[in-house]
Amino acid sequence: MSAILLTYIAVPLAAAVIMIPLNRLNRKIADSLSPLVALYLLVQTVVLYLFRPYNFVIHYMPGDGVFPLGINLVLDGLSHLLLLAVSLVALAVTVYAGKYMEKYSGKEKYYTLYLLMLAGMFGVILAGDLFSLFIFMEVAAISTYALVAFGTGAAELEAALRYLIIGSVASLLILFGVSLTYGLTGTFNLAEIARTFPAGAVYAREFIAALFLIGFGMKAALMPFHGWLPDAHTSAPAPVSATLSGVLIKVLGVYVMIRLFYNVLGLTHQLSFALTFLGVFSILAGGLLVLTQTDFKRLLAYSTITQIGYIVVGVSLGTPLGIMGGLFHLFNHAIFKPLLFLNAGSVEASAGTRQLDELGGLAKKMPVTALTNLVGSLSIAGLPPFNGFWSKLFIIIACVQAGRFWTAGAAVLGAVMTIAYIFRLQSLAFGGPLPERFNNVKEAAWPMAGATVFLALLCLLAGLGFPLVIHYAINPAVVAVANGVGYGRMF
Amino acid sequence: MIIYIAAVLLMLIGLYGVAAKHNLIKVAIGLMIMQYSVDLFLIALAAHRLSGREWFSQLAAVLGLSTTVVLVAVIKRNYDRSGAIDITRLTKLKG
Repeated sequence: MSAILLTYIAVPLAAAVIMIPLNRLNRKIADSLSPLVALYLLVQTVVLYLFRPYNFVIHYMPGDGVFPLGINLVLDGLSHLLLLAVSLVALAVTVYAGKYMEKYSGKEKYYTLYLLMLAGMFGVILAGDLFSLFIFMEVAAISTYALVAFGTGAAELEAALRYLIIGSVASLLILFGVSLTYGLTGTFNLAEIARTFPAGAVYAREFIAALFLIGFGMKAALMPFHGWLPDAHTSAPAPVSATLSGVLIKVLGVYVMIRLFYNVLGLTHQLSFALTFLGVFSILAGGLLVLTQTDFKRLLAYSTITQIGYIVVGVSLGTPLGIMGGLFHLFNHAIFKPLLFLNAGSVEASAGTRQLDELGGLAKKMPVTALTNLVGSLSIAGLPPFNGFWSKLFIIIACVQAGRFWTAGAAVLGAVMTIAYIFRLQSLAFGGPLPERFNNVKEAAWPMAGATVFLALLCLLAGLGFPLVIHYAINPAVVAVANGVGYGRMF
Repeated sequence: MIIYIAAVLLMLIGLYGVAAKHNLIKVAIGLMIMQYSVDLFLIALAAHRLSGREWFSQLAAVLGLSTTVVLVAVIKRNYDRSGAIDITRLTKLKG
């Protein structure tokens, strides 16, 4: 039964391997293969929620532990939440990409890389040891480098270069931290490290935590380490930007940080403070940088930095309400940010430009895109009853409860800035009179519009039914995080 | 002990190459030096009891190699397109 966890890695990998030969045989089947893979994994994730009681951990160890490295796969509340987010985004994005990617040559190569990236992300989420965590992280990262450069224009290549160099340095710092941990404990198994990390090695623990903070901070694009993100998100094809911003930086950055700092190394006071500081810095500085952007996708990319700041602030408080707010915001951001990025792609495909000062009045010609974009904007701006409202509210209340009034103030200020920039975007792109040259603009094709409608509906449903989402998806994750180093004794 | 210090020194040399050099090829070499330093560190752990280390260091080396391959491919592609091997001449984007 527990071997079912292997399918999350094996199915996308197998699909990636057969994609190129299959494309030679029959293009139609090859096109529908990756949406089918995403749909299958989404259904399996939802069904697993029925089979996994509230706080039950599914644990798969190949060869019953005779394997020397302690390699294993673990599904607990936290990883289940991430699985749900990734498979939802993957479904919407693969359906959208079928139509959008037609303007590029070598669509099957795009699918192959995308499926490899999915396999890597699922591997990172399920990994119960540093060995497979690092390897799957690299698999996801290397395919993303190639995906960012997919257009092979000058801007794409430059963005990919910057991402590659920063990403590789991050990976090497992480690898150094992994080696140190291994040298100290003699094992890669996360649960075993949590149990046996020598209590006397205080400096070593802090040094490892610092290496992981910088490494995963670069992957998560927290503010001082964010240099690659705006370029990579702007230059990549829209489905790739949506996945990068929606889930990749969360899985490779935020999720791994939460897992290692809470469940393996144990959250110290200093670490919690450092995380809060980075989060607040990202909210405020990111928010200021967004206000000046004139490119649709670049604006969204900077806004990603501020929203990641919210997630990190919430989680770093260490209180159950703060963790809940942070994880709920992580889930919500994984729905509304891909929605906005896909809309940016639709606008670019139809109107031929992303520059906000050239756009305008598109609501008349692209009603579906304008409406779904409005839903996404209301969600990210944190207006009730959409999902973003509740998560931001929880984070701000948690800050006040924890007695961190300055942090709460920064979060409120960030929310005001979000409202300012997102409605500027909405009115510049879709409001106002329609310019002459856009008279022939058409609504996006149905797979593209359908994917955005799907995500917009999810925003609304997660907002209206937030107690259900919290009960079934968020709370088990909060329990897993708040359990701390007790993770080592769960199984 | 000396081998650990050597590994850290090597890592810092590589980091210097990545951070301070303008030539993209030198940046790539800096990254490779960093990769080797971490590999050396892992192998140096062999002096201890640890099992399974050789698996990890081999796989990590392979992953580092594949990153380098992608990096060199992108550098080559970029050179073909813009003729620039100097990082300060890449100014299309604002970062």
